[in-house]
Amino acid sequence: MSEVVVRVENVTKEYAMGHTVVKALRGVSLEIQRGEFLCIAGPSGSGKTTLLNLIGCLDKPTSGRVVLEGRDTSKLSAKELAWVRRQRLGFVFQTFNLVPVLTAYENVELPLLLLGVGTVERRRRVHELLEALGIRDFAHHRPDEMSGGQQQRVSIARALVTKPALVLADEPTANLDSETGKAIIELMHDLNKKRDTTFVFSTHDPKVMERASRVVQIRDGLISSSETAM
Amino acid sequence: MWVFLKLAARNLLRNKRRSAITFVAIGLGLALVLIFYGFIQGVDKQFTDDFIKAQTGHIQIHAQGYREKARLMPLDIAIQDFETVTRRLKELPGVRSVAPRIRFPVVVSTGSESIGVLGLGIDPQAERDGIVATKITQGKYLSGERGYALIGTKLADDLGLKLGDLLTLMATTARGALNAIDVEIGGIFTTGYSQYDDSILILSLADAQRLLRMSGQVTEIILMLDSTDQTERVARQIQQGFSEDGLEVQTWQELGAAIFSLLEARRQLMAILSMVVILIAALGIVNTMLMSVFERIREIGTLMALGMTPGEIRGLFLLESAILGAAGGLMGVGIGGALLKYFSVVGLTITQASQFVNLPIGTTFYAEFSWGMLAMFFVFAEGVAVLAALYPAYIASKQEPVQALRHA
Ligand SMILES: Nc1ncnc2c1ncn2[C@@H]1O[C@H](COP(=O)(O)OP(=O)(O)O)[C@@H](O)[C@H]1O
Ligand SMILES: [Mg+2]
Repeated sequence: MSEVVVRVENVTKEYAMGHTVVKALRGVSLEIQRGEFLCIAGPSGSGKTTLLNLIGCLDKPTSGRVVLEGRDTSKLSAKELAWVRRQRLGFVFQTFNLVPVLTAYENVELPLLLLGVGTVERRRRVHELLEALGIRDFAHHRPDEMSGGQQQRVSIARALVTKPALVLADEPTANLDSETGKAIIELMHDLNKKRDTTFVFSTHDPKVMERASRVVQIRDGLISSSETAM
Repeated sequence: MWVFLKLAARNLLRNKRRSAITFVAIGLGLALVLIFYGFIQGVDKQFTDDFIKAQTGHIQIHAQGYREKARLMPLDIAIQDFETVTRRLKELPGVRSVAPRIRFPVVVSTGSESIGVLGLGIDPQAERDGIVATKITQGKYLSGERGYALIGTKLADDLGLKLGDLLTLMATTARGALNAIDVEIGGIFTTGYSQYDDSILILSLADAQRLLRMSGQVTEIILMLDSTDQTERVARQIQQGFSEDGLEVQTWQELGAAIFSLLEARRQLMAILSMVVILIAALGIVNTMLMSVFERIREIGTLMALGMTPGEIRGLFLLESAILGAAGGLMGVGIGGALLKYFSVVGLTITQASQFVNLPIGTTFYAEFSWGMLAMFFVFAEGVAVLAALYPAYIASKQEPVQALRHA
């Protein structure tokens, strides 16, 4: 029994660059099932980030639709999109993007505060995730006091803490050495299995793609292949 | 929400030096403006009170047509049956004292020397708290007994007179005849006002009326009220209630219009200067907040990805500025308030009296201090801080998440 979390329907995205138009996506259709560990793979400039941004309700397509849990997101206002992200989505960034003035604990707690989750529940969830991600000892460190791998673990905890329908990770290992990158992917894979969290991540690293349950290849703004792992 | 306050406060601490400079700019600017304001308020009030007490009273009443010729001190344009008028005026609510007077030119002769001065016949009882009665330095104030005169220290020195000396006073009566009486110097006063100390001779009303043959008449009636704020109301009541008596009514504002318009001009100049100071502080805030927005574009993108709405992003930066404004406001109100409090109690003594306002030599100026004033300026600083942050906060909230996240 499969359940569709996101349906991307014939989406195009164009960017205006001065007088020229860059066609970042030229008609992409894609369905993401609950529980997938989906990899969007492709060379630099192929449109991975653009696609993830559209799925993540950070941007709107030039044409086509993105339907998230049955809702057409292209009709929503900036404020409504913000609420969709807050309640249903989690983000992991290539550059970690932790809030520099907040400790690891506070960074993970932030999405819960935005959702108005009560103190006790908040503390429980943050501690549990810091523990699960092996960064309990860094709870009171600020981002600049942590290594890249530690920061990425915090950002994964931050993405998961609201129990989102989907976690989007745009090249989460690109700024890490290969050893740490591998560990991060293993961790995400583990969370995907144990918590049944749906992940979509992008990469151009073949070693990272190996762990995916499905790999969608994208080239010049078009999907060139989609392979499900055995 | 607490998390916004926490974020705002920590972000301010992130760039300590910049925040501190802005904070000090707000604080010092506000202190400066507050001190300006407190001093202007205090000095104006003091000057006004002084002017009323020493020069005009709250309200002056003359017979119809007197003011026009006031310079000539006409004795024939007099208020008739002044005792009845005075009694009726005393019954008006808010009137503290009613002082009938005769103002006349008089020649003072010491036997060896003669000099023309201003004569003032007063009701000793009505003016016992007045500027002269309270500043007697030798002898005593008029008791109501006939044949005594008061003169100022300077006049006494000029004429070489001392307490108990006899003088002959010569004046033209209301009908134009010459008359003279002898008086003894009963007291010498030092008010500090040159127009009193140099050239005024004060008699009881009865003596003046005898000298000028003006029994039952006075040239002016001066009213002091319980409170300056009631001037307009009482003046209106007199105009209505005494419309058949042929009287002219003037308030201190009308009598001092030239000087008060000068004060008003000075107040406006100070207001403009204050605005400039505030504008500079406000531009400092705008600059600080814009820098703060532009160096955090990617962070804004991250917060948007986490689901902060544009309104919340805007609120975050407004809150940051509001904290700066509150901190600077507290500093400004603290420094300014402390100085004002000090100067409201101890005062600022200026030994060189200003020429144009004719204040006593060695005047001490007191600043105005009130908690309400401090509260008002604090709220003002806070308002300016928030207003100054509107544009930077708007810029922050208008970021597109995708572009903001791509920002280097
Ligand atoms: N905001 C933008 N403005 C202009 N061009 C853009 C913008 N974002 C992406 N592009 C262009 O769109 C194409 C796809 O970019 P992107 O989705 O970032 O690819 P990838 O993530 O696979 O490297 C590239 O040619 C890129 O230069
Ligand atoms: Mg990319």
